[in-house]
Amino acid sequence: MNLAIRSAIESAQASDSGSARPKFPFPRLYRWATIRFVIPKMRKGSMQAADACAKLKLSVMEVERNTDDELIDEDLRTRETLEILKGTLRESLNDLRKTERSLQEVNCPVPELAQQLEIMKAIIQELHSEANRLQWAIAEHDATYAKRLNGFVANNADELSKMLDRMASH
Amino acid sequence: MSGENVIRVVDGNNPIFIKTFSKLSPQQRREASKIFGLLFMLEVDKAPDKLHLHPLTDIEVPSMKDPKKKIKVYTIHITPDDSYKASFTLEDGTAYLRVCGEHDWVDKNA
Repeated sequence: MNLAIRSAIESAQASDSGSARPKFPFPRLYRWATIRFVIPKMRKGSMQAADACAKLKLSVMEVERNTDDELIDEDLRTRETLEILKGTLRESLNDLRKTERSLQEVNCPVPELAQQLEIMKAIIQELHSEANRLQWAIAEHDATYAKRLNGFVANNADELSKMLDRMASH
Repeated sequence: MSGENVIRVVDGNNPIFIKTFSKLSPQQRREASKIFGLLFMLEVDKAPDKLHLHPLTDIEVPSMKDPKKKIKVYTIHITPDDSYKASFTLEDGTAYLRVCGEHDWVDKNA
């Protein structure tokens, strides 16, 4: 795996695992503690995720400019790693939504928390989008330079259906 | 009907397409098979809206016939829920399949 791509993926994985998952007792007694301790941690997590997002964007740009005929991800291992990352990000987004609903149910007295959740959700969506873009950029690059096979041509829908069936077992 | 933009043959000899297609679930492959079947005799500039067939604006790739020439890459949605898409180039009536995978996922219910 290309070192720059690996670094970008590892940054994204690390930023997701570092996200705060606050617990909410919500008596006013704890408002100070939430603002003092939880929100700074969430801000830090958001900044790390934003940094990871920037690295992924950079990787996408580098791949799109790459005209080297050596395949980047011939065995699709990087694609699979990015797929796992996307799955983790979707889970994180669902967790954040659940937290958001919890806040609404208890009439959260810390509006700053809701704001940070919005920011984190937006960044995670962006991370997911960039991970997907990187998958596509790498695959399109490799599709341009991959050595073509023989025997997978169809002249009508019936032949196409059979051709695709053969592909699944190739 | 412009002959150049009508698909008469579908070429799946790109190993990247084969590998990414194989990664789809059986149901997704069945759905994609139906969509790909619609490509035959399709004029790409007049494709039905439901296929979401359009050229990408940010990528051109070498022609299969003349590597010095750059041509467009088209994408088409291959599942009814629009969650997956595939890319291909078109030259002399042949659609050369390239990649398939998840569409850019944007959850509007943030």
